[in-house]
Amino acid sequence: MANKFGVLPFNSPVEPTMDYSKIAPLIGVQSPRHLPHDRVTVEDVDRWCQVMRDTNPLYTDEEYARQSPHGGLLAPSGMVHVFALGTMKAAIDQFVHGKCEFPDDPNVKLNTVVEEEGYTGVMATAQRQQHFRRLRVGDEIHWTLGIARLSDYDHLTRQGVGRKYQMLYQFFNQNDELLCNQTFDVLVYRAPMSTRRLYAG
Amino acid sequence: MSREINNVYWEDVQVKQDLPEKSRVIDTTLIAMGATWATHDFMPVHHDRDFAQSKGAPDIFMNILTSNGLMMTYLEQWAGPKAVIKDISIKLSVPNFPRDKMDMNARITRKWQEKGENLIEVAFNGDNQMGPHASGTAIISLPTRG
Repeated sequence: MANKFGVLPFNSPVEPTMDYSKIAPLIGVQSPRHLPHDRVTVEDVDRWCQVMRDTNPLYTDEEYARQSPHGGLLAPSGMVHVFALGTMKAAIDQFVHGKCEFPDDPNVKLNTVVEEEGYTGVMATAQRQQHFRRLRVGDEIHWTLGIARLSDYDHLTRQGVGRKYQMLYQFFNQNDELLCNQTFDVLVYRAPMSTRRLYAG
Repeated sequence: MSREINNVYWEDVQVKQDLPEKSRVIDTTLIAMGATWATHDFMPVHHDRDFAQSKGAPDIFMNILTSNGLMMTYLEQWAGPKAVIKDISIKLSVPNFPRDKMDMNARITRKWQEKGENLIEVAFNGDNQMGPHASGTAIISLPTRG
């Protein structure tokens, strides 16, 4: 029920603003294991550390890392997601031209549906990483992802009316050891027309 | 390479202890390079102002991998190389846009031992001039003096 300002509460019931039946089969389905693009390199770690201003010698000082219990250079654990992101060409193909590297992944199918439904804005809102093993320079990262849930009602947000969904990632190294479980929350939204006009120039 | 390396030990920290605050200037370079160069996130809303505005945003904005990286680095730089972040949850509120500054702070909220590990939980925040950008909690395994 709307309040006196005509605003629906967040826990409003399922609303007929999108066809949820197209989404339901995608929930709880995990993608196939994706093969790594590349190994974790010293250069990858160096770029991260420059931007983050990370001076941890386990990431930046080969001699220190070799003498540590780890026996060699590590990469910051938070980097693990980096190696699941594609090349620049793949991203531009996906986000500008709508051609995805993994068109059968559940999140890609979900994004296609929500965009057709008018939720053209997209924004990551939260994530949780549970780290089980250290990420090492030289590792190859395999991953799988799926959709855990999608809100079945519209949220009223600063960006506009939107829906939230949660992705589940699992990251493995070349020895099939689980490095990290990650949830990743995304808001897709319909930017208000007033905002679009304002920034259209 | 010789340098002074500080480690924080589990015995030396207390619940309700505040970590020293740190700040980062948020500019176009940090947002664009953080997204593309450091975290391989080529979604154009993080480096292409025209594209971001076509999606309803006023400017490019920081990607969550960079926000997570800045907060993890803030915590690790305090704790030292012997510490391990086991679990980190981060929630984004207002975006980090260019021409801003993010002030990072954290407080120890819990301290315990479990399965041979010496753990603390910290609650952290990264605030910009519009309000909270990133907030969350992290569980960190610390070394002991023993």
